[in-house]
Amino acid sequence: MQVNDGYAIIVEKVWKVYKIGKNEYPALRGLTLNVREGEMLSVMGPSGSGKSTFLHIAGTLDRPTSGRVILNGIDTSGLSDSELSEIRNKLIGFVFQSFNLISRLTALENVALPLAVRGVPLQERQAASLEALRLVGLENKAKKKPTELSGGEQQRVAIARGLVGKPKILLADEPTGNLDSKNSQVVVEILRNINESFGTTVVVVTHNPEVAEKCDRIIRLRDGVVESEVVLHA
Amino acid sequence: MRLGGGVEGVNILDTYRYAISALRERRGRSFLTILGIAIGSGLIIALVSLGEGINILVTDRLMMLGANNIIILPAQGSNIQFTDAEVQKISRIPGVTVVAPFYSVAAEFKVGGTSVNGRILGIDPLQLQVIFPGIKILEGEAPTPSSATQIGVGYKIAFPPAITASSRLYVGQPLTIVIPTPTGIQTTSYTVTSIYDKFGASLFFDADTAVIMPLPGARKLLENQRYHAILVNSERVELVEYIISELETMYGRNVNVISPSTILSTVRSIIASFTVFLGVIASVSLLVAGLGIMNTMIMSVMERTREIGVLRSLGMTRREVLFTFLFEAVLTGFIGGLMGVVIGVGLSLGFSNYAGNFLRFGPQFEALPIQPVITPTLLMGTLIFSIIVGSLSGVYPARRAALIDPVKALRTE
Repeated sequence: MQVNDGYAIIVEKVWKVYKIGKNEYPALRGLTLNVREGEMLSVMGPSGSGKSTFLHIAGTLDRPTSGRVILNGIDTSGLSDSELSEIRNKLIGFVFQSFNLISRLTALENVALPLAVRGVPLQERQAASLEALRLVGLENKAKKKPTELSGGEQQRVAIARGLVGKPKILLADEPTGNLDSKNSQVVVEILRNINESFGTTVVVVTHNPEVAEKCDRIIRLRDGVVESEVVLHA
Repeated sequence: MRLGGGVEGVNILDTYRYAISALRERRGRSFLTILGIAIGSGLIIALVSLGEGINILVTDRLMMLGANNIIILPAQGSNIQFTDAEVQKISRIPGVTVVAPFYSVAAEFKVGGTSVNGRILGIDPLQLQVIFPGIKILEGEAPTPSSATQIGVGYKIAFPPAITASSRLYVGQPLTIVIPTPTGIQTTSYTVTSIYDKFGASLFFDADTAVIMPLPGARKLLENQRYHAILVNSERVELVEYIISELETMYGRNVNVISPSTILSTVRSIIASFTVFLGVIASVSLLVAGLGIMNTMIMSVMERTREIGVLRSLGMTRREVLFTFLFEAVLTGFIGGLMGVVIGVGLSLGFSNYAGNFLRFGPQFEALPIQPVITPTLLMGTLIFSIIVGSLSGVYPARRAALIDPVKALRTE
């Protein structure tokens, strides 16, 4: 069934309970949260509110204890590891707070990784990766190792890696958490740009109000449920 | 489920590139791990090829005595008399073609002012071919069987290695022989009638340092009517066992019966089990090197936890993560095995060149030229063994890598 009613992400009554020893810690308590196709959403909230858990579950890195997650019309419940991996590879791009580039690979090779996982031939994926680096303004740093790049540049490489596979959804977990305000601004500009140019649905988990302001909508989580919602751009 | 477009998954060439980059990133540790495999597989190649070389050498040496030959010697403490009557009796055993009684005694030969140590082989010169099959006369003619003064000499007596070519021994010249006898040291001169061509050493006789003396001369020199031993030649190798059993019924415990073919099977089985033993030890060292791979890989997986999380977030499946790490282990085994082939061939050639000198049966024998038997099967087999060790060592670490929870992996520092 591929009915998505214009939603890229449908999170429906999702519970996520972590068990540590005999104790249970619910991170999400029946969260329901939908993200429209082409929307740029910011998720805020204090630490422990469940925003990272939400992002991981929406990105199929983690499975809900109960409830459903529908991505681009695909119900992810009951899918196998390889099916979820394929969804991550083709449908989703990730950007992390600490960049998570592989230090022994060049910027270009890092960007190309999702395509290598997909089995795209070398030349084709190099061309696509170079194009992705161009979009973040780093085509001249393609041969550099991550250690030779500034934090802002590393995060831009990571964004290029997130978008190189032309995903429908880009999930960013505190993308500006390790950056100064100037670089934070650049990163948000790039994310906004991707959202507007390609219609990519972007979800940004952030503490930074300046980042959140650039989004279409701000969701605040608390104790694993939506606390409030602010629509900035309709 | 397919999200459109053909999904081939990670390409093997990319897995290779990725593994190489990972091995290079920790090159010191990778090198040591690879070295462990190289030493283990190199040892297997060296020890097995040398064992096989020794086997061939011993076989050759024993076969120089003739596979059809049987030698009977008086047993320790026995007062059996090897006389012409016994020779007659033995020659009546069915299947026996030649019965050659002989004397064998250590002696010193004076040649051109120096002396050569060797043995006198007192035997009918006409029967010499039985004891040294294929021996050729280089110069002169064989001594007359009935002569008490003529002798033939081995190559190294006529051409002693220590002296110059000008002082070599010629046919017609006398040779002085010094031996201890029951009545004291005895020095006698004989006329050389023949010089034998190089033949080499068998396990019992070195033809090149022997003096061939017809029986009357030997009998007189040694003041002894009893032969030291009797060589019995059988018509066919298959009859050797039968003739041995006949000889044993005739003489019981009074004689020792030695035959190259029966010795050979014993010696070969000893060498074979020794080779297997060495091979097993070398294989154990390769397996220990496999533990080294496992250790390195486990450490690598722990250090690369976050990287694994990233790969999973990019869409790598558990199986692909497993394969990625397994491939690294296999590659380690493969590179180690390749290095091991080089090390092994080097070791066995080096050993045969230098250490062969220490393997002598006695000072009068030449160094044994061990030719290591290095076969493609041995090299390929060892390489494949290294790859198998690598892959088995990689299974556990790779499974650990595959089972890492991506969410936890991305949180590790």
